[in-house]
Amino acid sequence: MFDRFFRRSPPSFKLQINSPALSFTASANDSLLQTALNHGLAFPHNCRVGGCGECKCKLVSGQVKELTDKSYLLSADELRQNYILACQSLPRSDVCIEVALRAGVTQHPLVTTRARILSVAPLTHDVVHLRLAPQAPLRYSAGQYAAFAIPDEVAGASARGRSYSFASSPRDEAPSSELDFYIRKVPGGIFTEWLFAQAAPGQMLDLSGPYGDFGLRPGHGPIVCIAGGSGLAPIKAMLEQAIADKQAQRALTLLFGARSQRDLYALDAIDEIRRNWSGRFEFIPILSDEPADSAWPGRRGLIPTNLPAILGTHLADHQAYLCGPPPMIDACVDVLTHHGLARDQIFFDKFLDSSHAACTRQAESVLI
Amino acid sequence: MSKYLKGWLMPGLSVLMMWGVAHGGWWMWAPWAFVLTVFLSADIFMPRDVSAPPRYQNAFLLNLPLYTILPLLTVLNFMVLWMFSSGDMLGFGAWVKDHVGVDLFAARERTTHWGMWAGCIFSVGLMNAVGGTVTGHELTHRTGKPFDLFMGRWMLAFTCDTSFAIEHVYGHHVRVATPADPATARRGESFYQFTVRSTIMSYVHAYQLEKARLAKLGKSVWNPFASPFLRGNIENLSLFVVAYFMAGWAGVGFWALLAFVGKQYLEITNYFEHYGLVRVPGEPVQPRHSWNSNHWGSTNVLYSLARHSHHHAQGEAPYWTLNAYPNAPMLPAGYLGMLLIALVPPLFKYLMTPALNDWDERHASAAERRIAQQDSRDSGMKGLKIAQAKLA
Repeated sequence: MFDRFFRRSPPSFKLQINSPALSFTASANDSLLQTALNHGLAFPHNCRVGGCGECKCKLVSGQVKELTDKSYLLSADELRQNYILACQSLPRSDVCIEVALRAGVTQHPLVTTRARILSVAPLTHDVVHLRLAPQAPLRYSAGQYAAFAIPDEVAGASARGRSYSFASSPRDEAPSSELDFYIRKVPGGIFTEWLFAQAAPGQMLDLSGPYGDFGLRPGHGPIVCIAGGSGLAPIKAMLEQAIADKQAQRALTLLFGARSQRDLYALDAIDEIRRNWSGRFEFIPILSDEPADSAWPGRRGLIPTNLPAILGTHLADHQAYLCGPPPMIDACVDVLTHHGLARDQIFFDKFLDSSHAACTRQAESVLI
Repeated sequence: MSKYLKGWLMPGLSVLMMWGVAHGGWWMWAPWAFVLTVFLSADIFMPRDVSAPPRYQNAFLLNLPLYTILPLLTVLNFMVLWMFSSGDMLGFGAWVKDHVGVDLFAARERTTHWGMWAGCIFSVGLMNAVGGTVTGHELTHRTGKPFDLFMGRWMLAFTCDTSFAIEHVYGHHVRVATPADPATARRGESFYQFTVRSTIMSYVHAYQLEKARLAKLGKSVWNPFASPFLRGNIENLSLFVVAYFMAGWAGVGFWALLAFVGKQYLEITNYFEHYGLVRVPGEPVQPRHSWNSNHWGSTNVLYSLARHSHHHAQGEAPYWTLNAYPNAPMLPAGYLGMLLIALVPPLFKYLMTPALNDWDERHASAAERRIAQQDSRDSGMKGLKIAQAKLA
């Protein structure tokens, strides 16, 4: 009974948006907007401080605590219909709201299927390109990821699945007959050890997907994409998708962090993107462990330390998309926000340390 | 622990201010001169504070100094009204003499020249502005917390400016850097033109916002239970009533002067915080839409108000989470320096012209450059390069 007094984390409720299919766990400390964004939903929003009304939605049931007086902003009609501002509402019970989600975002059905290995081709000394043919049709959006079940013959009782981002944009409107993944060898990792040593064309894997909501957001300003190692996969897919959708007019800076020259890969694919990108395109590889005496003419060091010089005074005007190891993402997010980039313009797909599971969420602002 | 200290600079300043004013006579100028010297020195000689906000565990320790400002201001203002009056209202003078050991009766005797009272008004008005308005500003942004709003609004009453709590949050933050915002100074506008427009139109705008809001709810703006606008005005007036009971009509005049001077400090700050900046109405407010200052004194004493670019880009963020934004448009001097410079329009324009040129060139978007060009041509200012530029 003393739980209430000693509870360390705030209570959580259920947030349902439009239909039971979109139900999420919502912390009492996060605004409804923040919860929706954390779960990768394209919830309409702009100012996040209750000033613009972009995030208004209809409260169908449940109770919220409102942080600003919405009646300055909403019309008399909207007030009568119980509209609220999602960015200024904290849940105080299970909440059900209705909102017109951004057009063009498709919700793909979750599919679990077996897939046949078409090829396992080395890209560098520790990254392979895995091609799969799924047996059931699988639709996804560029930026999303799939979860692999480890084959029975190698899985221990406690082995967990692995998640990898789709490395190319969906081929066309039809469900993809072929899926690409870039997979880095994790020393001692059960799945990747098996993949690098024993996997062969024709073998079968179980996978499910798509998951996540990493992907290009609408906008007109410049884009900076930051990829670390095999984090290039969802970014490459996302940019190919933008070209296919004729959305490639925005200025783009693509940063690719690797240890040394031998760790760079998919340079042909990047060059293909460059040739098809209609806006300004800049590709900057940055090497962290390149021998000091090598002939490498490009940038060296870590991406975060190079960022301000590369993006210059317009840094804060960018939308940033990051994928890679957590320390790189954390350091880059720190640098970007320190130079004035709003946190809601930063999107990342972070590898989790232990399982390498991809986990997409938006940068949360950390208040105390 | 030291990271918690910066919130206490302001309460410390209030106590010093009280101590100075309590001496009476020409000493009444001392707090003003002291603040000017220390503040300006900190801005000029200390390195720029671009430190990242530290991680705090204890929000209470950061909020407590904000709440202490209201009782401190109350005592300070009561004390100067007491000194201005005759007699010993509430036995205050006797109590202070017995318990604090400060002889306010002697201080009152010493204050014989109107110039001494002018010092009092400049000193206490400054404190009511940097203490009352700056802290009130921080607190009235917390629209979800009734206690903070209550404290903040009373702090604003010391400059007769409770409508700021409405206009600033629901007006200025939405319309900043557009012509619809009374508190954004236009290119070429001097402080003296600006303060008249801003003071009147901010008040009118607060009334309009509140009236429109209450109309939607079917309530009247004159209903004190529904209308924070009316309640705020009652709070403003109540302090005049206190002044009347303490010192008669002379007290009312004295209070009016004090509130006026305090309000002018705020309006000067309003004046330079967004001077000449433009934004396409409806587009998100970015760090470039405010003049930022990382001068040490300005940012540390004023509850990070000088980190204005972040404040406007994220109005709900409490003061201790604000970032320095070293690449944002920068004021040529700290807040107190700008405050003095703004009083001399030719000097202000001389310093801000290169800053505006830099803004047009490096910060503005293409659409903003077009607006800036028109504004610059209309401003009558010389030296704005964009007025003659060929825009793409």
